[in-house]
Amino acid sequence: MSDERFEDFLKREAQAYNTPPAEVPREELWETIRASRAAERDATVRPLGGARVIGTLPAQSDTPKLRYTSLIGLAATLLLGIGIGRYALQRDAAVTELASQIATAMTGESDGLATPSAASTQGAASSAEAPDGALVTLAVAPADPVRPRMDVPSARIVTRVAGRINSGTGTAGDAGLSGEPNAAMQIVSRDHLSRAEALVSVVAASPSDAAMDSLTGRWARDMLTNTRLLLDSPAGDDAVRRRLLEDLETVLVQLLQRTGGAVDERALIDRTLQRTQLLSRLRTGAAGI
Amino acid sequence: MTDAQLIAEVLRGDPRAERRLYDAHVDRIYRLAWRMAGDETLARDFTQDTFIRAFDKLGDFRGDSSLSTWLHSIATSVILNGLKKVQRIHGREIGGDELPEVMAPLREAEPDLKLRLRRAIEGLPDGYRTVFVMHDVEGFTHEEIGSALGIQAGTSKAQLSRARARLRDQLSDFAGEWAS
Repeated sequence: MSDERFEDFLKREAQAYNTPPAEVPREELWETIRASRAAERDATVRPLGGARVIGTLPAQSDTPKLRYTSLIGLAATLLLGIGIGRYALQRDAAVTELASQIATAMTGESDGLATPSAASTQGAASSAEAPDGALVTLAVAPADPVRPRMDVPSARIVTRVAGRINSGTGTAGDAGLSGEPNAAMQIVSRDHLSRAEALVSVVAASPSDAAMDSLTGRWARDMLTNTRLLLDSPAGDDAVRRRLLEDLETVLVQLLQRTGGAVDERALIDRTLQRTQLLSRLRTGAAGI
Repeated sequence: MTDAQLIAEVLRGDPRAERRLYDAHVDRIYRLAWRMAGDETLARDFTQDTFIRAFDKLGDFRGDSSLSTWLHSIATSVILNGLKKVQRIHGREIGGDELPEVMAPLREAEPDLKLRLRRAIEGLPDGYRTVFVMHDVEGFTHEEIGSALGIQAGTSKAQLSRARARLRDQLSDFAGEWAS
């Protein structure tokens, strides 16, 4: 038996070895490749315009820094608003607690309380001797009436201060203390909802088979983080706004989980948008704050 | 359009160029993956992984070889590494009842011989099997095989010769089949 015959035999018979199908599933393979490429592009900062590509940023080193820079800025703004809100709440709570302590003291010491002098109402410290001999020291600053320092509480001053706080008829300083955090939170919330409205508009207007580009992906990720922060902040206490933020969060998650240009996943997003009327609610929500 | 022009367009981010590059080479790479893996899922995975890596590394392609050769070097690396992982997990034993359907050859060999041939090919060391499949089954030249596997063309010839010798030895019971 010759080698040539054996080689001919091998070449002929080996054609049956792991015979591939006649049809190559080109489209299916391409869809997966395209989706993977799109996901990689999301994690890569690309140069603008016609700039020459000189390489991509390493996925584990510089890219996260750049990606999180804007995120940190937004989060810092949000946290600042939350911090101001909590500080104000603590101050309100401190005043309320003080009023409570004073009221308690008042019940037992009403007979020994001194009437504040004219000097004390102008912000100066004064000491007076009560009829029963108890020394009452007052340090009342009208410009900052929520922080009276007292060694022994004065019922009249406390009543006056508590009345201002409870009735909302205090000075400009009083109004500012409770108004600042709310204003900051409102600004942050309005800004967030406006940005969300823009993002949802972009998504709703894009073709159903279009893959999400890198900028939109990054945008959606940032929005998702801030939506969660807002939900956990006092802004989420409002029931209507909370529902709006939760629906927005759902759509953002669906958006980020969408791989490539899968039409069925896009249909799911469209259904959620339609069911929740998210776009119109974002418009009215942002305008109403 | 030349390979260089196509690559330049891909690097500029033109998705149509990416698709053109893919269309030009996917059939041959998929066939090779199928031949080596003998499994549709693995063949798909290897093909996809090959192109994903190729697009990622296209900027590094210097044009020292043809684009096809470069792609096949990625493909063989992906396939061989992938098969090693599969072997580590499952081994490479394939029972007779798991054999996929095969196309009818021009000259029908004895069923027992076909099974023995298949098992003999499966039993070759990876290096020999790769060269044998690429050359005798898929029709690659030794130069192409050498470039794809990072070996000399002469080494490819030598490995093919050893692979055939092993197969001949394994199939010595059927000498009459090819002697006639």
